[in-house]
Amino acid sequence: MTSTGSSPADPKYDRGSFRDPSSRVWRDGTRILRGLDEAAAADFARTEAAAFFAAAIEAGTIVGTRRVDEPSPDGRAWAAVLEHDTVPVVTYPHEWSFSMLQDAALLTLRLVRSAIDDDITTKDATAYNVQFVGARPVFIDVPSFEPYRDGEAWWGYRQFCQLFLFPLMFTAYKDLPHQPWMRGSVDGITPEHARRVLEGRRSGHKGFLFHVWLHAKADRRFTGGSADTVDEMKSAGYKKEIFIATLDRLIALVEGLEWGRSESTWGDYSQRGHYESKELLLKGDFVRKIASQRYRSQVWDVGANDGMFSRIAAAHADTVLAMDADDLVVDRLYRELRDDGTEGIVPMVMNFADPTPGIGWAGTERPPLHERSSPDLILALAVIHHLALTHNVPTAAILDHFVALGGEVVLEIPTENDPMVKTLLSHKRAGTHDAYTLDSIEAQAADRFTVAERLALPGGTRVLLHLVPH
Amino acid sequence: MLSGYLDPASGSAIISGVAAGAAGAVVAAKTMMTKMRLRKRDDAPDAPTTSDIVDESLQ
Repeated sequence: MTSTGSSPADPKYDRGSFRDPSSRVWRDGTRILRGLDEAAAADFARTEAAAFFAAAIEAGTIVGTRRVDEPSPDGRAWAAVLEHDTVPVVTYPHEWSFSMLQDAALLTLRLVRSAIDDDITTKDATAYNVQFVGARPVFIDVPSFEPYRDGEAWWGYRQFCQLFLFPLMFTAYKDLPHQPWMRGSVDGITPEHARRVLEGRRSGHKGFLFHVWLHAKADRRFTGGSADTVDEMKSAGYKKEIFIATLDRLIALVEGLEWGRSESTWGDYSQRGHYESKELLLKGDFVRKIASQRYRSQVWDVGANDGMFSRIAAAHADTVLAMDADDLVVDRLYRELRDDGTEGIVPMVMNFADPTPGIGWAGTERPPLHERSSPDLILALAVIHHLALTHNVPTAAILDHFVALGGEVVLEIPTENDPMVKTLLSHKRAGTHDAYTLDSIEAQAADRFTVAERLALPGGTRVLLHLVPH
Repeated sequence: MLSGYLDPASGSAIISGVAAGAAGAVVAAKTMMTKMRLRKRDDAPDAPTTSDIVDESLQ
């Protein structure tokens, strides 16, 4: 379960747990607890008795959940209290790659599809109901399940479209990254906005007519609440078979979505052509030596690329956040991790120069990354020159940010003579980055950290530092 | 009885049926007609006509 927004020492309700008034989540130390009101408790009783639920818990597709007897933070007498297994790091759909969002969508649909055989449905279908444990999606919003009432359509359909289907279509049909759209609105993409983006000469794409075009039209024609509509649809003959057919068609549609792009700015970076293989081995040894000094809870690999160093660190940590600004690189890494069953590495689409802000209600409903994860170790391998020269972030500010994050740092500094640095500088006005020198950066690092170890790679243009907070 | 805490809006609820195929489309069409009849009865100034819906379906 998610663990955002509350201090471990001071149990209180999670700031992102309020939209469904029938249940609230709070954290007590490392435990994640959830209170259910009378109606939600009755729904859960039906859900936990259903065959699909036991099977999903067994398979790990629904978060481990058990009944407990615990007081609530505000003294409210909940009808039932549940404890959920913890998710090491909470991530959001605007930090997921295409395949991650697609797998989360399919998990949601398949769970609803299996639940309906037990006459259980879901009351919503937000992407925030899914978290990743390593490269494995897990459904975390257990009270989302409720008994199916004959004649009702799927309540989650609109949310599913806005937070799963339309973002996936943007990438599959228009090669548009979904992350900026999802980061821009906690409610996702409206049918009308999806129509405007996807409509065009090639708007014959599968699913466009019904889920986008007609959906947007119907949205305009039939505005307002759906309370009457439920009765009207029931009178018109809506039945469970139609519900099931809707799900089956959505599953087929989402399964068929593909991201055709095969190249990106960093798409071939994993070949690491700008490194001599000996340098790469030495760099790996340096990371391994520091990572293995002690077992760590969380490691951030900033600019993780193909995950080579994330894998090294993962052998000595609970969780490695493998961040990269390139969504295609992250997508490839995710699929590799998923397919080979590697655990302990969570891929994330993250531009470290523009990290995830808080979004949703009061800007705290979905908090920024640094409030969800506290790194014990940061791998900043060959990123400082991109932050400094591409994004114009002063090197002192970069190091100050590392200090604020609180962990140790493995910092690779490409010197002013490095070919990549020269390439980046060639796009800049002369003199703009004269302060970017190895001596200057090393001095700034030594002011802020203890330099525990230093290694100059044999190529002569890259230096590795192990920085430990004072 | 309404169960979900969300209000998915009428348009979305209707279209979820359409996506199911022929049977769902019939339900959706009937629901739309019901809504239009109710709107006409209420003399809603912007009530769509049957031909509006047919035209849109054919576009």
